[in-house]
Amino acid sequence: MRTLAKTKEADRRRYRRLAAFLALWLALAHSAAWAGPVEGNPRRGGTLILGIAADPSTLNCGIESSQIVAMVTSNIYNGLLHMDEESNPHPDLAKSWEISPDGLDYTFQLRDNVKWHDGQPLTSADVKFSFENLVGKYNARGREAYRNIKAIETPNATTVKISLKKVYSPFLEILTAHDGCIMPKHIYENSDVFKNPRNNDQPIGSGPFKFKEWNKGSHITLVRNENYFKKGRPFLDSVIYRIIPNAATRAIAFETGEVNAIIASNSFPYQHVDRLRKVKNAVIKDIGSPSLIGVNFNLKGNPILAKREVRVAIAHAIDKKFVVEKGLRAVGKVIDSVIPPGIPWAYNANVPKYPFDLKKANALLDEAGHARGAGGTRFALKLSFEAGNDNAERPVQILREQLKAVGIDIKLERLERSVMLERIFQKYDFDLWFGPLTTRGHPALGTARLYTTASITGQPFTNFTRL
Amino acid sequence: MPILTFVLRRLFHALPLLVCVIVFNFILIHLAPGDPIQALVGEFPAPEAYLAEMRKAFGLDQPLYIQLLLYIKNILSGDLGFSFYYRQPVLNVILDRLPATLQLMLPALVFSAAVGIFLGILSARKPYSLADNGISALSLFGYCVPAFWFGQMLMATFAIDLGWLPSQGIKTVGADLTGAAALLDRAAHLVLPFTALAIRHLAVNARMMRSSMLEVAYEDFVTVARAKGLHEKDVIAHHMVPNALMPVVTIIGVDVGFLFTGSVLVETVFGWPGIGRLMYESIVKRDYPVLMGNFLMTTALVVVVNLIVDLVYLWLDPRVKYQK
Repeated sequence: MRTLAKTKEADRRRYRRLAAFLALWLALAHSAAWAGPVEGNPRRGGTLILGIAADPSTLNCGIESSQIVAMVTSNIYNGLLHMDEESNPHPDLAKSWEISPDGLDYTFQLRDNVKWHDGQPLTSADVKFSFENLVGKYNARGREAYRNIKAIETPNATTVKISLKKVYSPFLEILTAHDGCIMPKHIYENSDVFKNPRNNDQPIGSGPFKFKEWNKGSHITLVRNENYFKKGRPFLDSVIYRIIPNAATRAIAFETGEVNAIIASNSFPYQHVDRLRKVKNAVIKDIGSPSLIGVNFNLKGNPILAKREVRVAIAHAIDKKFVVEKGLRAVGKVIDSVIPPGIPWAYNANVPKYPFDLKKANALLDEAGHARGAGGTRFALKLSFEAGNDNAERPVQILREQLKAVGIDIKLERLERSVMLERIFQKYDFDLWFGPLTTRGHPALGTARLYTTASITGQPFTNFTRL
Repeated sequence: MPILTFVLRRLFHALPLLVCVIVFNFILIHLAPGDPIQALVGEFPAPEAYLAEMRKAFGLDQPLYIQLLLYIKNILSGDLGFSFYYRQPVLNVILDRLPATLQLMLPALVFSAAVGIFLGILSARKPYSLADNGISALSLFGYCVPAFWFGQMLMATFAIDLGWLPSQGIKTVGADLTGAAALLDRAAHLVLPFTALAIRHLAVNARMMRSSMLEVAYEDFVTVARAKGLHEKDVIAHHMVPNALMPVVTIIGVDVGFLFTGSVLVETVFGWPGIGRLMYESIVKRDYPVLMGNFLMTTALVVVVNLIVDLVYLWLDPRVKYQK
C-alpha cells in the first residue's frame, strides 16, 4: 500500500518555485463604477463594455463552472455568499449563517425580499433544488464539496440547513455565484436541464443585471435589474460582454476605447501588456485568486527526474526573477510556496527556498551521477508547452538557455492545446511541462491536488464542463 | 428544360462527392491527435472511469466505422449532430453564425470580381503602361500579403492611429441604432475585414483578367472586329471581354471556397461572429460535430457555386451546350 501511495503521489506533477500571479485586470479609470466594493463616490449610470475571449458555452451556471461562463452568469445569478479578494465570506442571498460547533451543520438565513427577474419570490426551495439537481450535481469544481452533503432541510421559506457527512473546511468557498449559483426551481423543474431553452436565451436570475440579448460570437448585453434586492445597486445601466477571440484585437479594442475593461486570465492579452501600460488612464491591476505557472516534473515516466537531486538542481539552475521579468513581461512575481500570498491566512513565506545558484545546481547534478559528457551535456529532457500560449512560448525559451548552462539539453515540444492536454494528462508522455494552475481561494481546492491522491478519485475541475 | 435536367443531374453527381468529403473529413479529424473529452476537462488528469463514461455519452466509445455510419445515417435524416461544447444541435450553432459570414463574404466576392475584372481590362488595354505597372504592383502586393497580417496593419492604421473606423466586431454594441444609422454602422464595421478578405481575390482576378485579355487580343476575331472599323470600346466590350471572362469566372467559382478558408483568419482577427471563426474555435476545442457540420456545409456551398459557374458558361458562350 505504501509503495502504491508513493507511486501515486509521484504521479502528481509538482509545481516548483516559479510562480506568478496571472489573474489580472485592466480597467480605464472612469470605469470605477464597477459593481462590488467601490472606492470614492460612485456615479449612477453608464455602460461597461468588457472584452472577453470566447462565447460562454451556456448561461446555465448550474451545469457549467468554467471561468468564461461564470464571468457572465455571476452578474445574472447570486450565490448564498460572495467572497472578497482575500477569500473572506460576505452575505449575498444569505443574510447570515451559523456553523454548528462540530462543523457539520450549516444554517443559512435567506433575505426575504429577493425576487427572480420574472417576479417570482426566491425561497429556500430554490436553494435546495439548485444544490440537489443542478450545481450540486453538475458543477465539477465543487463536486467534492457537494458530494459531502448529507441532507438539505428547508424548515421555512428563508431557512436552509445543510448537513455534511464530514467536516470540510472550504465549504463556504464554493457557495459563491461561481460554484454555487442558485437557479430558479420554477424554470428548471421537470425539464432536461441541459436542453432547457433558458440556458441560451432569456435566463431568469436574481442578480444585479438582467439578460437582454446574446448575439453569438458578437456580444452579450445585460441591463440593470431595477428590483435588485440590494437597494440602489447596481450603479451601471448595463454591462456588455464583447466577444473578441484574437488577443491582439482585444488589446486594440481597449486602446481605441471600444472596450472599457478586460478581466480574467482567460481574456487578458498578456503579450500586449507593454502596449496597454502606455494607454492613457489605463489601470492594470491584480485581482481575484491567483494562478501559478511553473515547471512540472513527470516523476512517473522519467528515471532522471525521479531523483530528488536533479529536481532541486533544476530549481537552483533557473533564474526565476529573470523569467518573470522577461518571459512573463513582469506580470506576476516569483513565489517560494505553492500557496500564494493571495490566500493570506494560509500563506507561509518561511519555507525552504531554492535560490538561483549555478554552482550548487552543478554540484547536485554531479552528485546524482550525471557528469558532463561530450559538449558539456549531462542529459536531455523534453519540455512540453502549449503552442500559441504567450505565457509559455516566451518563458520556455529562457528556461532552455538557463538549463543549458548546467548541462541539461532541453528539447522544446510545442503542442497544440488539445494535443497537449491529452499528452500531459492522459498519456503522461512528457518530461517537463510548463503550464498554469489556478489555486482558487482555499488551498484545499486548488493546491491540494498536487499532493494528495484523494481528488483523482473524484472529478477534474479545471476548466471542466460536462458531467 | 434541358437546363433543369442538367442541374438535377449535376446535383445527383455531387452526392458521391459529398459522401467522399464526409468520409475523408471524418477519418482525418478522428485520426488527428488530441482528445475532445480531455479538451473539455482542461489541465487535469481525469480518472479513466470518468473518461469512459463521457466517451460513452458522446458515442465516442464505438468503433470508428460505426460512428461514421451513424453520422451518415443522421445526416440523411437532416441531423448534423450535437455540439460537445455548445450543447446545441450543430445546425443551430451554424445557422446562428452563417449570416455574419455571408455579410462579409458576398460583398467581398462581388467587389473583388467586379473591380478585379475592371482593373484587368484596364491593365490589358495598354500593357506595360504606367497604369498597367501600377495595377500589377498592387496585384502582386494583394496576392502576397497574408490576410491576418494585413488585417492587423489595417486595424493599427485606420482604427488606432487615424481612429476613422471601428477595430472589430460586426456593429457598435450598446447603441440601439435603427434605420440608416444602423446600416452605416454595419458598413463602417465591414470596411476593414472586407478589405483584408477581398484584396487577395481582387488581385487574382485582376491578374487573371489581364492575361486572359492579352490572350484574346491576338485572336483573329479581334483583328476582324477592328478591321470592320468597330470602335475600340466596342471591340473590348463585345468581343474581347466575353471571351476573356471564361477562365476568370472559373476562378471566381473556386474563390468561394477560398473565401471560406480566408474568413477563418479574417473573422478571428476582426472578431467577426461568422462560421470561419466557429471553424477555428471548433478545431481548438475538438468539437468534432461542429467541425464536420462546417466542412459539410462549405462543401455543399462550393458544389452549388460550381454549378452556378457552369450555368454562367452557358450564358457567356453560346457554343457550350449541356446535353448528354
